[in-house]
Amino acid sequence: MKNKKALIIMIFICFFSGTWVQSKSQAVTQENAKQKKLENFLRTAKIVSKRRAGGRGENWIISLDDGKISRYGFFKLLDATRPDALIPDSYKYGIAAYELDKLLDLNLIPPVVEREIEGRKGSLQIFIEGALNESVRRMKNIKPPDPEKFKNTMEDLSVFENLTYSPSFCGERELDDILIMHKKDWKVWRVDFSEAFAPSPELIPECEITGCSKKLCQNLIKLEDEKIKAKLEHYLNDEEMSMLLKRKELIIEKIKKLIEKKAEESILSS
Amino acid sequence: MKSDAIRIMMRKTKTLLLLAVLVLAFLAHLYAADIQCIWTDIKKIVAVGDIHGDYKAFIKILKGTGLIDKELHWTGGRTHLVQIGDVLDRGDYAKEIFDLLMRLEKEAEKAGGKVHMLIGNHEELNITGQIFNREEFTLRQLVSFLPDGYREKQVKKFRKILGNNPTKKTGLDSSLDSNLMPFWENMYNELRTNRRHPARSEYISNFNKIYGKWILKQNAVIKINNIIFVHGGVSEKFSKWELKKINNRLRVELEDLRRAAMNFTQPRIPDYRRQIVYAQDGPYWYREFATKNQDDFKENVDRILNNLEAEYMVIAHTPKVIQTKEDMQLFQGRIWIIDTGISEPYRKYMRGRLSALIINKGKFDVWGLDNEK
Repeated sequence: MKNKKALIIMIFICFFSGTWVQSKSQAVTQENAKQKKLENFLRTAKIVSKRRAGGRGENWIISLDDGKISRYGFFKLLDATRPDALIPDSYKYGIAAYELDKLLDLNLIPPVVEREIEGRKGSLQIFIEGALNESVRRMKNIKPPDPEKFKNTMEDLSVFENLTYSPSFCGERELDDILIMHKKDWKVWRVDFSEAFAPSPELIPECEITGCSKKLCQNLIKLEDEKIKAKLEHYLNDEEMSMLLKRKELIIEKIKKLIEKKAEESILSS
Repeated sequence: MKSDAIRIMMRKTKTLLLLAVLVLAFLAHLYAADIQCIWTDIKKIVAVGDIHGDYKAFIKILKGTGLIDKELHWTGGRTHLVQIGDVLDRGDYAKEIFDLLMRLEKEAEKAGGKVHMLIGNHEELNITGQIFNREEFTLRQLVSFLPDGYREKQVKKFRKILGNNPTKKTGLDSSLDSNLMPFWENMYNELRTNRRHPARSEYISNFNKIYGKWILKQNAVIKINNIIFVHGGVSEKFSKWELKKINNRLRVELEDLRRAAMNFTQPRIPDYRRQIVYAQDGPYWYREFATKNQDDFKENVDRILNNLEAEYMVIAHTPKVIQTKEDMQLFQGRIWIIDTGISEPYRKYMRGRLSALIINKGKFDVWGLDNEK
């Protein structure tokens, strides 16, 4: 009974902070349009040159040009998926994470598409230039101009990493996959989900969820399993999919419990 | 009544005995997993970087540093030879290098010396069967690690297609006759894309039965005197672990994958529960020392070495073009990088050179700068 009440309160908070949602909706549409444009660019732009990039798999940095703009893309070829691969690492998981990011309207992952280059299929992602990675930020102790906003983004990232089971900054992990546009607007990007979607029925032990934005909370509750399946079934196997859906429920449950324990203002950021 | 009590007592005793045996077996297993990884008071150490299948280069270095004679027998006495990992791939002769290392290991032991082969990322890629679709995997390496029986059977098949008379010659060299090469090339190209190709499983099981098993008796990180030797580097996270724990955990995870690869079963440790294998910050994939800005990362290096109670760390994994001894030093000489592009492909395309780091009574010197012929 108590749980039910808490859930109703949570849904209420998430859904009826209407003014906030309305004020943000225009920005969201703009972001979506920008994403679509970049996806199209990645699919169709001419390949000008390519050079090897580091990493454990075969990766390339590709110079792209569509006659109007030039950008670099990160082309990842490795495709070792579960259950066959003993060490799963696939470009497909990166695309699946991006699709999920879009479904949740998070905009944390740079646009990425599947593309064939010189007869080899892989993922081509917009290469983020001029960013500071979280590891260096912490090392140099660079403070964000709006610490509250930065903290909230990191909370959302933690939720998303639990959802995709792809930890980057929990525990004592390396933080190079978190890129920050520190010279512009401190926008945070998260790259490399190629080992994500582990079929774990639990959340990441060392990656505790402490809060999340109202928007993410709202979108998580709203997001139907069928929609996730329709968008991600090409990339995930049945077990990976069912565990993803299970973790989604666990996250909602976790946020619900946090709201029960503490004041909702301290859990859900705007 | 009395006999019933005796029977029950005997059954209990049996159970207790069985339990004791199991506990002892478990403890023995734990003890066996502990392989020495720290040595002190060692006068001379010779460390060699990534060899990548270049047998000739390796022989040249070992001879040049006085560790072997013309007949390729150990002459290093009490010296510790550290081959820092990545014997496999890129070049063709990894099998010959492993065979030599396995023999020298015994000879050095007898002489009071030691041969350490550290586990590198390419050893992981081969043990776990992740190597086949990577460009570093060479055709000759494939053929050399196939089981003799399987290889001979293929040769017979190839010769039959060619219409050749069967030959009495056997062995690896005869399998690699130039007229047979198109057949091997065909197999090589097929198995790179076909996960179910039978040659893949033959390679994995034969490699693992002999060489994988031997590699898993080695360490990934060792400390000799006040120097850490590791293929990629010890990250801050792992610097807080005991060396014994790093090596034991790595061996447990790799052994799990070795068995799974050989038996086509699922590993017992799920991929999301692994801590070291394939970890970007694990001891043989870590690359930060070679890539990070030295001013920015200096404090981290100091902290890491402090955690490890060591003064220096010798790493490889990232090839570096060197001209002088100073070129091998990073972070004011606290980190030494010994992957100087030793193997032929690197010497051909990136000005790599043969080298060895010699540490004699605490003094660091480099073989290969002026004495390379």
